[in-house]
Order: sequence, then structure tokens, then C-alpha cells
Amino acid sequence: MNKLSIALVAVVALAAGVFFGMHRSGGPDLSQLTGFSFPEPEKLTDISLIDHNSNPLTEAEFSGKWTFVYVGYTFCPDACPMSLNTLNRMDGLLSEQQGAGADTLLVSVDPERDTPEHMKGYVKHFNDGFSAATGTPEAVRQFADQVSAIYSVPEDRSDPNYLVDHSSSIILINPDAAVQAIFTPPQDAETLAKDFRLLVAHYESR
Amino acid sequence: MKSILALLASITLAATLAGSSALASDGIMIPETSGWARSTPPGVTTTAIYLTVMNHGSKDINLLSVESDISSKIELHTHKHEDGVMKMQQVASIAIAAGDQTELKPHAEHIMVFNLNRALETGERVTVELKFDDGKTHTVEVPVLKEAPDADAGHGDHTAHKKK
Repeated sequence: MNKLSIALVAVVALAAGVFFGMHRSGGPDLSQLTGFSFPEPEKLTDISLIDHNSNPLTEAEFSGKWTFVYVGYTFCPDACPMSLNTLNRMDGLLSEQQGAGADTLLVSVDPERDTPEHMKGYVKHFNDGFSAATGTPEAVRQFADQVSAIYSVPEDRSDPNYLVDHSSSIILINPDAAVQAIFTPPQDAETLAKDFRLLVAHYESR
Repeated sequence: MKSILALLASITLAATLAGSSALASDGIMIPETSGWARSTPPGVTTTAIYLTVMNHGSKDINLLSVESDISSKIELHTHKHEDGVMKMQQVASIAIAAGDQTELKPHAEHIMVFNLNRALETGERVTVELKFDDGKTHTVEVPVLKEAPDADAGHGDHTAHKKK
């Protein structure tokens, strides 16, 4: 056997392995994901937020559709606009493709400054279709914990320009209202869109 | 006539010298095309300004402060990704090493603007004065943009067709 045929055999074996590997797991190869996908997504429970129109927002809001959630705050001048612009571009990419789309929701961890009306103007600046929500500090914490978002509002808020440390991650909620995946920064629209297609295919192949 | 020509010549020479001396003795250069300020959503009174500062000199130079008529509270900030969270922190100065450049950009060192006295609309321009520890002040004009000029380059702005 010459070198070329050895190489050919190796390529065929590798391709077969990938092919059968994919089919054995019953879905696309999630090892290509840049985000982190939960093997067993956990359903959101007891969500009690207020949306940008001052209406209650519960876990029912997430059922039957895909939702990208960004946990941040509107006073944030750098990380939050970056991620929301990225989500806007990803939304544009998804709308040009065949297949499922997704909603985008900003959840503010700064309810003291982020009133529903203020958040409404804020998210619409990025995309007319985006929504926002917040709630009592306890309700926001309860939501953030379920989507593995980390943040810390300073105890001393006497300076009206206080800043909030936050994980700046993008979270994908699946149509069972369960936490499917997390994307930590840096995030880019193309990669998010690709990951989303993989995760949707994986979800639909179960 | 001769004296007018001499005067013109000396003015031209002086201007040329002033221009070249500014480049030669002054290490700092800020390419105007590198800068931009983030436009503000309704009701938002904070923004960030980004630009690249080049140091063509042989000594390290520090950016100490920034002033602009858009706000009286402008700070130098950096981003630290620590314990899983993004922390924005004020810094006293931003260093530009000799013969090097420092990019002020999203998720990194940037100029943080609080208490904006007006909304910043895409398309307008903002003048900023940067003070350095070599005693010099540089004034640059930057455009107001919704996002970085190179954000996901090549894919255009998908906002336009989403907006009704």
C-alpha cells in the first residue's frame, strides 16, 4: 500500500466515524459549539418579572419559542450596547435564513434606575422587536440564578452614577422554557447564529 | 511687492515648521479615523468614546484626562473580566508605550462619559480634548456611531430592514 492509499483509507475512516458518530447521538455534533450547552436543560420556575409595558412576565412567556436573554442594565455604556448590537445583527442574519427565529429579552438587574418605560425606549433603540423586563431585586436575583447570570449591585448607591458588575453573558432559552445554552463574551453575530442553528437542530432531533 | 513675497514666504515657512515640529517633538498622534463615540438610546446619559493613541516618541506617555463640551464628568475606565463578571473600573491614566499604540476599544480601556448634557445622535461629531503627561493636549473630533465601524465587518447593518 502506498502513502496515498493509506491517506485515503484514513480520510474515509474519519469521515465514516464522523458520519456514524453524528447519527448515533441522534443529532448534529455539538462539539462545534462555541457556547456552552446544558446536556439537561432546566425549566425556568416561579419567574415574576415586569416587562417593558409594565405587564407581568412569567415563565409562560418563554414557552413555545426560542428566546435570547441578555442580563444587564441600561446605564451600562460599553458591554451592554455591544451585546445588544450583536444580538441585533444576529437577528438580521436569522431572519435571512430558513428556519426558526428567536426573540430577544433584556433583563435589567438595576430596577432602581431601569423603569419599564425607560427600558422600552432603550431596547427599541437596538431593535424594534426586542423586549425588556425587570422586577424587584429578589425577583431579578431569582431569575438570574436560574440562568447562571452573575452580577453585583453596589450596596452604596448614593452616587447616581454607580456601576453594576455583571457577567454579560447571553443565555438561550428553549421552547420548553428551559435554559439551553450560555454564551460568554466576546460574542459575535455570525457565531451566535451558527450555534443557534446547531442547537435548534439538536433540540428538534431529540 | 518684494516685501509681501518675503512675508508670504516666511509665513509659509513658519507654518511648515510649526507643522513638522508638532510631528517631530510630539510623540502622540491620534488617527481621526480610529475614533468614535457611542450614540445614546433615549433617556441614557452615559456613553463611551473609543480611539487609538499612537506614540511615535522615544518616551512612554500617559493619557491623564479627557474633556469635552458634552459632559463635565469624563473618566478613563478599563474592563476587567474577573470571577465571571465584567468589572468597569476607573483608572488614573492610560499608558502609551514609546513606539507603540494603545487602542481604546469596547471591552477594554475606554473613555467613559457620565452625565451627558445632551443626547448623542448617529451622524453628528463630538470634539474631545485629551491631556497627556508630557504637558500636551490633543484635540480630536470623532463621529457618533451606533456601533464600532468594524463590528462584524462585511455584514452590513441589519437594523435598517428591521425598523418599520
